[in-house]
Amino acid sequence: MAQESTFVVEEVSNIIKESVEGVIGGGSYQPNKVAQWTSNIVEQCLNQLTALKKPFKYIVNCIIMQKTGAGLHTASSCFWDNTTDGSCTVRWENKTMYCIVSVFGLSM
Amino acid sequence: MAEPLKPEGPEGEGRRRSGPPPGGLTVPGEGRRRQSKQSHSGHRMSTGGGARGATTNTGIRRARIQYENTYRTEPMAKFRSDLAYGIIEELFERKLKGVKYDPKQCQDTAKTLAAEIRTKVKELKYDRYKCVVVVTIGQRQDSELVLASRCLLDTKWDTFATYNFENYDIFATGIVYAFFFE
Repeated sequence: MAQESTFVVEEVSNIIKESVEGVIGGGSYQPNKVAQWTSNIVEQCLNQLTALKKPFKYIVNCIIMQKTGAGLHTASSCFWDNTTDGSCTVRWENKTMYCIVSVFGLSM
Repeated sequence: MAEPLKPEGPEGEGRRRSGPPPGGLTVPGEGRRRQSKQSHSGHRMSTGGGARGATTNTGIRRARIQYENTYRTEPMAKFRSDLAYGIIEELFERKLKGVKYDPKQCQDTAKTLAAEIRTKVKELKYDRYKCVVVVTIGQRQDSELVLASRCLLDTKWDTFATYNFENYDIFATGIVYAFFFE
């Protein structure tokens, strides 16, 4: 069965948004729960990505940061095949925190 | 007033670039292709046929090289994450020592660091390994931050390396993922 084996950014972006909304949707920053949240977000993303059943290896990164006016920069540089591999980054925020999730997909 | 080099003709040339394209000789089909987007006269130029294909200046079609299968399912040498760790550590210590947080500068620093780490990892010359480098630089200002990462990989051959750096004003995290290309 010929499956589309290129990284579809829109599809992955939706998956990320759903996962983030599902885990921290209406909450505010709680230090004791953050570690659990990040784990849950990456786990959910990964599970849904696997369910796509594409011949891909995935890297999911999640950063949750409290809103205090501090600055943050993330940069990535990749050595891969441009035609089949790709990445998708989603920035989400609410009143008390920022959440940045990046997914990199590398074809096999 | 810039004059087009060629007079307007029945093909509905209209607006054309006033000079030859910077590459030198004009590829025969190219000019025609551009016009078909701009002509309003209803002249439908075919964009297929001769306009396609990569023809170089000498007119020889550049063939896509196809390699034979190696039938090798495993790498000759597994990627050593400790070497990648050393690379990130050395670059961070050298470039971020005593650096103060500045929004514009840190943006560039993060990008250049990621590119440099990638170059150095490529210099290790591991065969058939793809790599992803993620660099995060943030300001130390009383806020909390959690960074989590999870991967779907082949634990036998794929690996990663992480390094955390801190000084009085900034913190930085560098991650290198190395994935074998099956």
